[in-house]
Amino acid sequence: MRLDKRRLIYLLLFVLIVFFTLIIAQKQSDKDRYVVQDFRVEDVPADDGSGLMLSWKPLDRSKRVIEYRIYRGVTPDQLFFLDAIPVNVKTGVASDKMFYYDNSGSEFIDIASPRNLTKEKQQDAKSPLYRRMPRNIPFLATIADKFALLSVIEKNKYYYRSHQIQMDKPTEPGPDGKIPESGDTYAGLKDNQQSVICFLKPGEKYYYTVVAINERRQFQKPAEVSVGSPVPNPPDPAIALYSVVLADKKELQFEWDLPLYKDDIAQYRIHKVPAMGDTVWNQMKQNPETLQGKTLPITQGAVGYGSLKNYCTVPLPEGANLASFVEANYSLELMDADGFSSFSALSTPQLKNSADLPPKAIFKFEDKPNDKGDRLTVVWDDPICFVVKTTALNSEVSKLRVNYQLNKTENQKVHDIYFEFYKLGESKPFSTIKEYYQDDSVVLKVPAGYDYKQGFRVKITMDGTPKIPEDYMLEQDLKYDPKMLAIMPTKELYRNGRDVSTINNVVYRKTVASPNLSIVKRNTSYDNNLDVSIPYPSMIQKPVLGFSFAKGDSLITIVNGQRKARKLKAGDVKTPLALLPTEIDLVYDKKNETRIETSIFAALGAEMAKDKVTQLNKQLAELKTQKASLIDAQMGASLDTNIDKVSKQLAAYSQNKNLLHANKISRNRSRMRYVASVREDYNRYNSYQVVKTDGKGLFVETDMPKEGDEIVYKKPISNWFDTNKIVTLITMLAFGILVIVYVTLARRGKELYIRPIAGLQEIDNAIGRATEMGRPIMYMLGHASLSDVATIASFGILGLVARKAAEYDTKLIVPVFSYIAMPIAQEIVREAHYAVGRPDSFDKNNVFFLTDVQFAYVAGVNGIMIRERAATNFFLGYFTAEALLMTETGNAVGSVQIAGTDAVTQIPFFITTCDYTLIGEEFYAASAYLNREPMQLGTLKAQDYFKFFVFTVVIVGAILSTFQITVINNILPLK
Amino acid sequence: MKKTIPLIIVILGGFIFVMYAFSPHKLLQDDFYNKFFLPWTYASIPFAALLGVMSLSMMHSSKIKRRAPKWQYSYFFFAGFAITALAGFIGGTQKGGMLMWIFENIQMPMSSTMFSLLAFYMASAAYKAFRARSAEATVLLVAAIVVMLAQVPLGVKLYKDLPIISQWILDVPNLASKRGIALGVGLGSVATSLKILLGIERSYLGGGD
Repeated sequence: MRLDKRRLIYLLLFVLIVFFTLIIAQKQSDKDRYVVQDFRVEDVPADDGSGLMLSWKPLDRSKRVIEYRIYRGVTPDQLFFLDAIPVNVKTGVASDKMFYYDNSGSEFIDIASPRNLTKEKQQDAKSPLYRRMPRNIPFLATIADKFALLSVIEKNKYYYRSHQIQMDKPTEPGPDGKIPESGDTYAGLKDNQQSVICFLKPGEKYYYTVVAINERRQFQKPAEVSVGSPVPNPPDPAIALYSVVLADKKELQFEWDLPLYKDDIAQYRIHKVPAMGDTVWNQMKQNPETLQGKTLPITQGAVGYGSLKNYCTVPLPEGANLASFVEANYSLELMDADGFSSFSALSTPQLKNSADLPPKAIFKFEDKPNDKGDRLTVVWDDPICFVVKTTALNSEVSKLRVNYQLNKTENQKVHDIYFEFYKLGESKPFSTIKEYYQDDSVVLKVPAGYDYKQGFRVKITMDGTPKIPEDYMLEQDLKYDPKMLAIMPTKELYRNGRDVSTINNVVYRKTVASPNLSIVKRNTSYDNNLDVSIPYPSMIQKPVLGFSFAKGDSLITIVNGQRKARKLKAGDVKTPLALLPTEIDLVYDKKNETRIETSIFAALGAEMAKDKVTQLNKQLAELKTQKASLIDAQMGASLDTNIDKVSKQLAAYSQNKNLLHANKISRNRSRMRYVASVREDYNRYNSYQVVKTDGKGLFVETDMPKEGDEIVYKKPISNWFDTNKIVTLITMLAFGILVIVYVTLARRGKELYIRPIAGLQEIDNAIGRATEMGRPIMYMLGHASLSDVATIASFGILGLVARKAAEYDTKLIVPVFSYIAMPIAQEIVREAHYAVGRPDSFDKNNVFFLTDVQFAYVAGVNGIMIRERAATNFFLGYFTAEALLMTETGNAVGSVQIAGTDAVTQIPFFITTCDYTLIGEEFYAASAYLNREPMQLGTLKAQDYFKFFVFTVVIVGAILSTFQITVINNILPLK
Repeated sequence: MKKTIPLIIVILGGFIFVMYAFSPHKLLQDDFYNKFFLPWTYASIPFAALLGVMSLSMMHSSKIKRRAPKWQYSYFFFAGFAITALAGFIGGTQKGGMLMWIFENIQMPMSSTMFSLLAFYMASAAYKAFRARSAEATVLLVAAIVVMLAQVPLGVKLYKDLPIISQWILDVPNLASKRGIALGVGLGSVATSLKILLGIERSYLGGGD
């Protein structure tokens, strides 16, 4: 059927009708819009007053809802998009209620937010719904006091792009009764230089609604606006408290599990409670006043919002009666930052001795090798090897494949693993397997006549570097699991005869500046090490203290809720800014135990240090005067502590080399570069501690690693060379040398024999055929981009084909898949035409980008192939599923087809459907083969010899491995 | 000059990437790759895409101008291009919008149609490959029958060890030949990369000096 003018008009008319029908269908107003029912806003229980809980009844599945959008505002008439909860349109929501917790930070200023106040889609003028809060500081400043704001900034923007904003000299006296000499200084950053996150404030009112969106993206009616106000609540009591009395050490050990919400729990206190029933205690703890005098606080400490230790040790007082502590009960009081507290259920102590404690871990921490310097490895055990599963290799179950796992660090080398398998109840192994090459499985022959369902015991020993103790042995029981229908290991893991499966190895970290250790990870006894990530700093977090912007000829500043306006002066920054503190930590002075702070602005930093020294000198003088007038010795001791603390701070601020050096630099940028190098370095030093615990009060902690009296801190090192790749590098260099040798030989005129490759020899004939038939040639570069070597190899052949085609004046069509490769292909074909003196025959519209969608490309190529009735097709490059679709079409058209690819999966299809196929390396050799350039031939020859070398290594390696000599296996990298 | 400067850039870039492959240092992994190379790559992609669109538009407009055979189809390119672009610009790219509707209801079914044709082409290719014209083709035919039969319950019913034989064919002779090809491909690509690094292979630079 010909596509004449009349038919074309009909067709276009049809397309237009379809198009407008679709638009009308999209725009059709819905008659029954759905409203979410039973929408409520409630306070989140047991939190710090920064969370609200939203709940509603989800709509029926038949409403085809794809998401619920939540809107929030500080007034009921202006609600901003907060978040969207996606829903599976087919299944809907299974539960009766949906919940959303607004208790973590949400975007306040974000680069993705609209620039100005923008109504939500499909909303009329009366609708209270708006898109995200606009990125408009003058507007945001009006509602900022309703939220706690935190700015997250890319570090270099804070360091180098902050504007120094100086407030005017205050007219009213400060807290000390004096009028300050100058106003405060802030670091001002634009809205596009940071993301500001907002948190709800206790006591403030927030308005919410929820809107359902159906699969046609139609906004349904919003639920009735509800209001909520977060309030601080008492924390939940600890889930469990475990207490142990160590009789021989005369110590009490406590360990506890914190409740789920622990983000505001600051302190703990343990009370000794006289023996009583749970009912009585539950009544008493409801009224903490009644506890006074009845419970005895025996210890307290910091919880650090769940990040610090969840255990403690309390030595019994000298001469104390042990029985009174054993017979007593204990309760854990958790206190939050708002002064609320809660008591746990009573814990009755277990009476134990030191021998019942897990053995103390012998641990070390070291730099992780071959990384970019962002990880340290904490090691607390020799390599751990254990069986993970077994599989029967035949129906008689006379052979089992036993899969094992070996956990070790990169620095621990295991040479051989020895598995000894025992029948149940026997002490002599029936099978000993030496695993000389670790491939994570061994094959076990089950003794004839033994019922495998009775199970086995396996003992595992190892030798390696660093030396593994000879008595180090791991044991497991393998039992028949009727559910899995297989022999599986039980959960017990015996290390030198002791079951360690219930023992956890908890890693704690201490930074240079922090006085406490914080938890990193709780590990099982199946692990022997932990890689702790210490990322390079990239972001900085600062609270937002205010905003400044110009309005008309006035400069408006809003700081701590106070709005001030004055006439604009020369040098004022008119751009709206969020105001952040300028203070930043510089270094931790270990000698004086003081964290030193400075400003990001040079002059201010120097002034800050000077003021701090003056203030500390004054404070010290006052303390010394107070001490001189004191008579009470106890108060004197307390003052001494304060004097010592202030003296150390004074020494730090007046003598610290880093601070002195920083303050000598007057240029902001150079100074900040120095400050950044110091602060980012010291923050990366860490020290560790490993605690072995059963999670129920029996724990042993290691000592902090020390050199003399000083705790040892380490930072990860960025490695220049990955030692795992040494063999690859040597091999690559050897290959490179071989290439250079053969290229030199070829240049000197040495005849290099290259075996004939039929596919390449036929290229001339295929082009000639197209010329004789007067039909075009098509050349497909595959569907990879320039980053694929196959595409580059294909370019070499394209140049030669284009040259021949230009010589014979035959049309060459190159539909390109990658738009990045397209201009290069055009240039290659153009150059070929110029090289043979036929620039007139070059038409750049014959080398064009078709599409980068796989099957659309196939459709396009096939269409051209059929329409143009191509005489010859070249498929040279990287191909996937589209290969067969194109070559079969070419076959049907009757084209001569030459293909070449390095995609192993497509080679069979090419062989079947094309006349000639270049398999793998032949494809890479094509350019050299056709050019006959000595340089190119040299590389080809080197490639052949290197292949011979590789085959030799493979054969020698296979023979040596047969005799358990794994030297070659160990040298060669696995990946 | 037209070739020398790009050649220097390629060789220099090539050596940096060799270092990137062997060195885990932050300077190469973060500062060079993540902070320099990737942003520049992302920034340059839209310009390359624009070139592609221009190339396609020029090809079709020239077809219409020259009244080349089947030139009327070129209008479909412009119509499709304009409708899709407008749908994206006006309605956005999110699910539920016109662009996604076009993608899900027009492009996806068309792509699936093309892909499903593969099954028929495979059958035709298999027929060509399995014609037992020589001893090698007969071996291929037998191996294919064993592997295919082992995938279906009927094969296991006929002979219970068929899956084991099939797995052996896939794991031993098949894998050995695949690895042989992979080894050649690996060496070939390393050799091509070396040729680029040493400036022997320059075809990717196009023409002109």
